[in-house]
Amino acid sequence: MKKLFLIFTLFTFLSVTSVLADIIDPRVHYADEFFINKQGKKVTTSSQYKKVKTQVYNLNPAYSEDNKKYGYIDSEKNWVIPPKFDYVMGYSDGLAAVKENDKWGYIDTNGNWVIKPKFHQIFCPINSTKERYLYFLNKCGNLSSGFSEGLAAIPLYEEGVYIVKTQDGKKYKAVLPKGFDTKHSYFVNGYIKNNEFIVQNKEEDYRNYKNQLYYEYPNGYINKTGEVVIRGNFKSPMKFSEGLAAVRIGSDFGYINTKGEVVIEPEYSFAGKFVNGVARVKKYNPQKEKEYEERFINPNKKSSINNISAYADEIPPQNIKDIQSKTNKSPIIPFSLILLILIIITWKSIKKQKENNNANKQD
Amino acid sequence: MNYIYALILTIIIELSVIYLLGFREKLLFYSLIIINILTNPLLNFIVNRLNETYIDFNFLHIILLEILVVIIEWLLLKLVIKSKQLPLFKISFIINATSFLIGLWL
Repeated sequence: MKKLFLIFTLFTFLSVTSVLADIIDPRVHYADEFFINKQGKKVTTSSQYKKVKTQVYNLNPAYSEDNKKYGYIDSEKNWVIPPKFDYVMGYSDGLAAVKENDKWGYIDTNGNWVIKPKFHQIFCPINSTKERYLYFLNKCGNLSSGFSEGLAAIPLYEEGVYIVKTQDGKKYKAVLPKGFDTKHSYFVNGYIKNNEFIVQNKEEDYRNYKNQLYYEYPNGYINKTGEVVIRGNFKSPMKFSEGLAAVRIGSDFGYINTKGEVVIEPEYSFAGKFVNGVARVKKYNPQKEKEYEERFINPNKKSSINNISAYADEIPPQNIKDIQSKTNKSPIIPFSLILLILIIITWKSIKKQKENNNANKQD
Repeated sequence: MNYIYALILTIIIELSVIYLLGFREKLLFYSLIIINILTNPLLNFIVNRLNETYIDFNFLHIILLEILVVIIEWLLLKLVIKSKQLPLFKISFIINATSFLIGLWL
């Protein structure tokens, strides 16, 4: 029993540390912190950097047990916008993202549609460790994920394509839907050239492309009419502040302007928003790093392909499912062996205990 | 429908393990069926939900959830079956570990 308890404790410890390793990014943890101006130059004083209070709306996301829908209540818990949405987010810049019939749109403070629901997904902003914990617990409803200075970041899921690895495993082919606009051939992790997908983001290469099939889409920003005004190959787009927004290109953050142009090159592991012309940033310092725990990356993560017929014109759906089933199972094999050993140990222990109990009964 | 198939398969595997170990207590069998009805669909729902969000949900997170299930099932068995002779924690571990191992390869 003691041996089993020890193994169980070790197992739990390993699992918890792997979870914590995901939440606490070492590139942010082992970093130098300082302030920069809008030209990307380090500033020595940060006296002008003060926390600005964002507008507080007396509209709080709330859930109704009666009809199982979401709406907004005021501070006295009266319904201001009645519960009729599948999910809601906090207000920002006068608008809030809400979900209806599996699509996201935006409403104003009176609950009227400003942008009718048409987006498959929205972003959940992660600007601090606390927000990351809330995200892990799937409590995005407590966070505002919307507009700032007239623009909102949005994953352009509808403009995505499927990427399939070729038989020799050396190249990636893009499965282009009918009417695909070749002008928009840049995605988060690479770009399309002559139907071939060129992977640029090597960090993602191992994690995502171990599978035969992956769904790739760009990110962008929309204005208050729902029109896509910025479209780019960046990740983790943050809210605009003083005309600049932090975005992640590759593994580092930089800043873009309202035209989508990179104005501060990506070199930061953390990038805050600009306040009075100054932003707080962190730059990864390898010398500070004492122990680097390698991130457990699961290459067997399967993509959701429920609406595959809308995109994969060239490959029939049943073939794509065959490809998906042939995923690389190598990390599961050692784990299965360990688990099998534990099962055998426990089996023998239970059998022995039963025999002892039977022997005691006979006595 | 997938949740139902997973639940039925889990119950079959777990009851088979208990039977092969030589346990014949009816209360144990019935308790396991009810406990699985309570916990198994919920676990599968949580796993699917976390997998669909933007989080980097991976294999080790699933292990952590399975460990929680072992503990919860053990506590529920303790609540229902007040026998000190039955090694309830070991039973909870072995039935969940077996169904998890088989589920990995299906």
